Amino acid sequence: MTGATVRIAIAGSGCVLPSGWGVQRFWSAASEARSGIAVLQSKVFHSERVAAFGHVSDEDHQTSRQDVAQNLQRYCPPAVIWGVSAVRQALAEAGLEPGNDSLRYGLYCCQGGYTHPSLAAYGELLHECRDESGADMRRLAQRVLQERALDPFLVLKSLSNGLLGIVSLALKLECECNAYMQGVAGNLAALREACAALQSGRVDAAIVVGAGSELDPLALAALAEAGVISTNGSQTLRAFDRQGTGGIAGEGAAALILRRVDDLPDGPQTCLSALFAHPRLGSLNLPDKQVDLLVSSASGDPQKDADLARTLARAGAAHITSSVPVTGILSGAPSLVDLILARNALLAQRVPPIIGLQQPVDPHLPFVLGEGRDAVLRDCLIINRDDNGFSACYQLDYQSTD
Amino acid sequence: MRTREVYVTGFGLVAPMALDAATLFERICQKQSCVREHPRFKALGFNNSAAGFIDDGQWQQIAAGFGGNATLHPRQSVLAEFVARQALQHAGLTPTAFAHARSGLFLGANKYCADSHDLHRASRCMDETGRVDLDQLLDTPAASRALFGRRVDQQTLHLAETLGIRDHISTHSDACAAGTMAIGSAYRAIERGEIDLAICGAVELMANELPYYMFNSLGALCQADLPASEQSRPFMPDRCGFVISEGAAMVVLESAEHAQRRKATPLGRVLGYANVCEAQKMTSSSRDGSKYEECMEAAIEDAGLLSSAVQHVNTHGTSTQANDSCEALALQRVFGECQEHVTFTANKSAIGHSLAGSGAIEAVLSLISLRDGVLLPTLNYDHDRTEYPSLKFLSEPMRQSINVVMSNSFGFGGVNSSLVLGRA
Repeated sequence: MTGATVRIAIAGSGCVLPSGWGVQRFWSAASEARSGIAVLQSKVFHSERVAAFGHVSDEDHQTSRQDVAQNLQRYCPPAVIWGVSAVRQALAEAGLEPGNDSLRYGLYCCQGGYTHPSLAAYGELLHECRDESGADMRRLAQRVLQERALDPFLVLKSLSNGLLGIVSLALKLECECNAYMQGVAGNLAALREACAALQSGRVDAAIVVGAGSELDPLALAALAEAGVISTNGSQTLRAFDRQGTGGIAGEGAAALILRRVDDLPDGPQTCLSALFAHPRLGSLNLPDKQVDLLVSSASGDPQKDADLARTLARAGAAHITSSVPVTGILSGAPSLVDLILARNALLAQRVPPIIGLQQPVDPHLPFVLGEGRDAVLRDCLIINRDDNGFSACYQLDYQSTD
Repeated sequence: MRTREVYVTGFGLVAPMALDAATLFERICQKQSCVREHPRFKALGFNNSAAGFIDDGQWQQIAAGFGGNATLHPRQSVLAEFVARQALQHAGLTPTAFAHARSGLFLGANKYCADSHDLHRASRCMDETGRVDLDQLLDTPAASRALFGRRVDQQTLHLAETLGIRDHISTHSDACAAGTMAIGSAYRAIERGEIDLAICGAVELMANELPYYMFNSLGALCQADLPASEQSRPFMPDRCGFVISEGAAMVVLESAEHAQRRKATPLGRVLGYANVCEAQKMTSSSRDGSKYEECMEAAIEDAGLLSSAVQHVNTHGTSTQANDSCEALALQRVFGECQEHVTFTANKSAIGHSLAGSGAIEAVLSLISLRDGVLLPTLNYDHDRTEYPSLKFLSEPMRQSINVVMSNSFGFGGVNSSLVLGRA
């Protein structure tokens, strides 16, 4: 946040994650060491080697659908519906009603990779056009182009800015906007642009939202080929653990409302005070002072987590935790989820544990094992490394009323 | 004058049938279309196989200049490096310049969809009920050796690593507006003093069968019984959809101080920008053009100009009924009585619609018009039959010195963007 004299606070948050619908469910799951990762379930594919996934439950999906008008749902893959629901939660906490206040809004969105079109969109057609050597692609082309066998709205469900379009329509938001793709880098870009818009006075309230899912055979195959998720049938993601068996993917959405601190009533605030990014983790800028809390991404792979731990050691922190065992590895909102976790920790003055961690890859680092603990927390660093290369660092400062 | 002026000091471009910006500009001047029959679409038996696409010959030349084993990288990274090298060379910069400056990378791109090879691969792993056996799929190697080959941010990562760019790194995915919004975001970051140097634009590779299926199923693609080169006909009454295309373009932006310090020759300036979501519909704007009008007005205001200062508009002009109608009405509203002093062009008539790539490509063509004083014709445009006679679209190239161009990009999802560019 170069040259920033205007402080930016998180005024509201919302999420739909494998841990449940809403921030409270997420915070409870993290605090009570309950993972949202479960047995992988799909009507489209099956696997014994990729055995677990961080699913958003059907019940939470149905709850989220109530936040999106029926006529818009035909344009929405599930992740976009979760995104709208997360935004509405965040606005409610921030006490904002776009259209009923005089604020100028900005909308900054990020989507994960394979939200749509997933193979499910073509599954029936492929099956129908299949012979012993696989699908006849000429026949499939004929079915699509001449017999109109494809969902006409598939292109809209597949938009990389579909989340932006649906949120703007659902909330009747006519405002500055940006859509970004992919995980940590997309979250970072959305947060950076939102902060810049607030600091330059172009907007008064910034909505930052990310959503995505990799629940698709081609998507999961790509993650497996890249070594991001395990193919050994593992059911748990053990972050920073020497006995880790690899990563497990998850899905979900998260949203933040950012405001200028000066525009908010007096009270405790969590302020986003620094943003850094780099394509190489080892070259990532880190603040030169020790922080009370560090929230880190994790891979579940002991070797990769040991590499990451070396960067964490460079940061210096009194306590280290991670949300990844709660949600799985997210493609749409990884940094936003970590910011929500960090904010809740700062507000509660409590550090949730790293679920399942028993033998840390670095015994000298202050990973939080077992149960959560109360602590004096004034600031928090969030370090994210994406599975496809990008790294980012965020700093949150806590301002109490005292 | 702005607090910090933003100069354009270099650009690079690859489009169908053109491996650089000068070649593309010259092709359009000569009214040569870049749209032709796509051999893959023909092989799949499409009735209409018209597309703009980067062909195998072009890919060989692009890969030949890659600083590594191109087969190990996603195609979008290979293309991005090729275009970035052009832009840097044009700007007189070495790649190390970015690591030594406060710099940023802003690249537009939408999704890289699966293709027939991926679908065929998956279909071979289906059981009798149609469910895919993921374990079998994992044992069936993908055609490409590149990891994350379908991930849209890989070209951004590759360039950020190659150029040593940190912090300001973004992959803009605002559908058809992404290229313009990437350039606009870079302009803003320089203008507010956060960075001094940026490379920005878009890389789009959507000319394959799955995007074709999806856009066609929505009714957005031209299916007229016309030669490929005549199918994209923006603003004509018989327009009936866009022609899918692909391509990439990037520009180097610098703060005036940075450019002057290294004695760079400015090619143009970014004067203003607007990016708004309009909350109307997913696929079209307000029928009266008012939302597009608001976007253009906001960009002109950001430039500190009046609409009468804009002399030329590079329209979004997709050749769909709805978009061109909304844009034409918006242009009439913005320019009012000044219309006769403004000329218009629609580059998609020659290139097709390269989605995210289009805004960046059109920005580069606009910069050449500003630099060289040559305005591009709109192919397949007939003055005698036009639906909007008050808008002066050129059907022949025109030599005329201009100072200000506005370039529009409007995307599905209701995202609108306008960029105001000025002569150096």
